Amino acid sequence: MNTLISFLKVLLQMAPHLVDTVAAAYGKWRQLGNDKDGDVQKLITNVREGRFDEIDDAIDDKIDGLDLPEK
Amino acid sequence: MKKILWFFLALVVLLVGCGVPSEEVIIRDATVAANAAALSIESAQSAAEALYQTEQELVLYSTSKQMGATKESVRLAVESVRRKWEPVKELFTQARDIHSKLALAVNTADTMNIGQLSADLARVHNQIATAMAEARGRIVGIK
Repeated sequence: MNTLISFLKVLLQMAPHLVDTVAAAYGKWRQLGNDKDGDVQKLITNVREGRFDEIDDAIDDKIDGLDLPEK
Repeated sequence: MKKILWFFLALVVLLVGCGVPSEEVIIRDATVAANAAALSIESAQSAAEALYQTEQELVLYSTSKQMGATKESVRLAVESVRRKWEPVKELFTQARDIHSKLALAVNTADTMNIGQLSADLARVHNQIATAMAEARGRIVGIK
């Protein structure tokens, strides 16, 4: 924060018309940083794998349990 | 000379300061889009699993009631259903792979690749939707 204040002081002396722009940019940057904590910002890194193999196994068990001749 | 140096320093800090929000916005939006895509794929996958199981059970039931049915004939009928679903399962594998790459691109702020990967994911998502519609049509037609 001290660095920012020092920077703004220098900027105020050398380019006063840019102070508002820099302050607005810094405010926006902080706001975006705080928003990172929201749930919507937590990146899902893995889509779960399908259960297709489990379904196959369950169907195979049902076929094995049928009251039918093997061939 | 010192004033010029200060001005240059201030300009660099200003440019960096203005640049960060722009990239932050891209990453934030990409994160939300990638999360929405992940949830949408998982939702489609859950529906696909239900359809996959339903189609196999319907074929199992109808084949087992036929005259001269055997376990082998039922297995063959069920295997034919599984073969029809192989392209759909492959699409879900592709979607998972692309999403994984997209998540990596978002995590590393690789803004050059985020757009292309998002487009790839949307294309595969559309293919999944088409394949699911075909599967629904097949299931309705099973007697």
